[in-house]
Amino acid sequence: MNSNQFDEQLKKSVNRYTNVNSELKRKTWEGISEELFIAPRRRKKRKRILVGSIASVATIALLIFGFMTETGQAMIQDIKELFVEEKNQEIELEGHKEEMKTQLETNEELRYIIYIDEDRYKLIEGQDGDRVEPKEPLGENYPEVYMEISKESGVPSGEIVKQIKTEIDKEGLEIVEEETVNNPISSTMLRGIGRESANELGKVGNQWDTPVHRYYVTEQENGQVFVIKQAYFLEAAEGHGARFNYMLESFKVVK
Amino acid sequence: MFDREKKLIRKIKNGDQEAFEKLYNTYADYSLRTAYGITKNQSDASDIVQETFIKVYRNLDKYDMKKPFKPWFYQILINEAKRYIAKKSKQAISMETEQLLDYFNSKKTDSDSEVWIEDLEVAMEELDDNHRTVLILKYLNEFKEKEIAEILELNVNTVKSSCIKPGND
Repeated sequence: MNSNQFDEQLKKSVNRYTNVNSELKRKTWEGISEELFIAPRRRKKRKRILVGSIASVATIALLIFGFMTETGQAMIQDIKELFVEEKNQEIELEGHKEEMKTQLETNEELRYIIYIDEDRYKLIEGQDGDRVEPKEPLGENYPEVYMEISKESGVPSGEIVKQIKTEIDKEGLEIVEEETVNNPISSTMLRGIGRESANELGKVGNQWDTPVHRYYVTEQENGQVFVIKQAYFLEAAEGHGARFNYMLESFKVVK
Repeated sequence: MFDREKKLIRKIKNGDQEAFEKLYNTYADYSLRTAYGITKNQSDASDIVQETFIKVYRNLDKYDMKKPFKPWFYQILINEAKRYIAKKSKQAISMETEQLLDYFNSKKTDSDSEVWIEDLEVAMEELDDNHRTVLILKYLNEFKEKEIAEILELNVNTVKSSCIKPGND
């Protein structure tokens, strides 16, 4: 037996020795899927039920208190809005439909609500605004990914758009789009992308990790302008970029 | 192929569950065979592969995208198999490994290949886990000896001495 024949025989032998039941692949995937995708949702649901119960008690307490004052009346109105806890939304990403489970997030100070895809993102409240970030960090090799919601008072929308253009330029990006849009929200949209660069093979152009910054600036209402900034990278345009916009569709200013 | 795989991995990092299922479908058959080859128990093999994919999903940010994915994946798989075996304290070595390697080498001149394969399958059961793992990684997963050494965190000479080579006798 020569070397090739010998290797072939060993391959055959190892293949036969490691033959497994064809059902094993499916059963194994079910176990993985349960642990990573199904069980966490179930756990969250249980938590939500508990939160819902506490919230109901708080609502009742406020209702009792609220009947006495005008402020109380306003708060009741707010809470009615605030306690739509969750909703499912069918979304389409790269031609595939999927159901996005979203959870209500509110900001009393900035007076807005938004539904967040809680399986993938978290909302972090900051001093100047809120930031929606991926729950699982992307790692050092990736550009930043987030959606920031902030509010400007007493400055016209046009002035804010000018400031954003300066900001995009300072960040080393080029403005490739500026238009008035109705989706995901009625606003002025500006999109800036990183300048062309060379990859490790020397190919010059836009790379998978070229940063993209997309802004939505609402019209001034009662002296208030909301600015939504989305940061992601080219390859994530159909992922994070699309998901940010689906979430932003639910954005509402609470009066 | 590597570019496609890396694109898939980036999609998983971006939260694409479908991409993760595609990765599973790419690696499931051979990883199940490998784990089964080491444990000789289908249920254990399924548990090991489940744990491996869960770890891969949760630790994908630690994977260096500049390096090939397959050895990184198999390192996790083999470590998981080792951990599983240690937990179960399976020690079923009834024959000295060196004797078995000699046995394999003596058989390589046998012209009756079917008999040889059956003999080898029986003999593989008797190999210790490390030697059996080396054979599976080499002949099932087609890793090179250097890659096997990296996956098993062994010296490449140790791996070489574990492999059966024609012409040794």
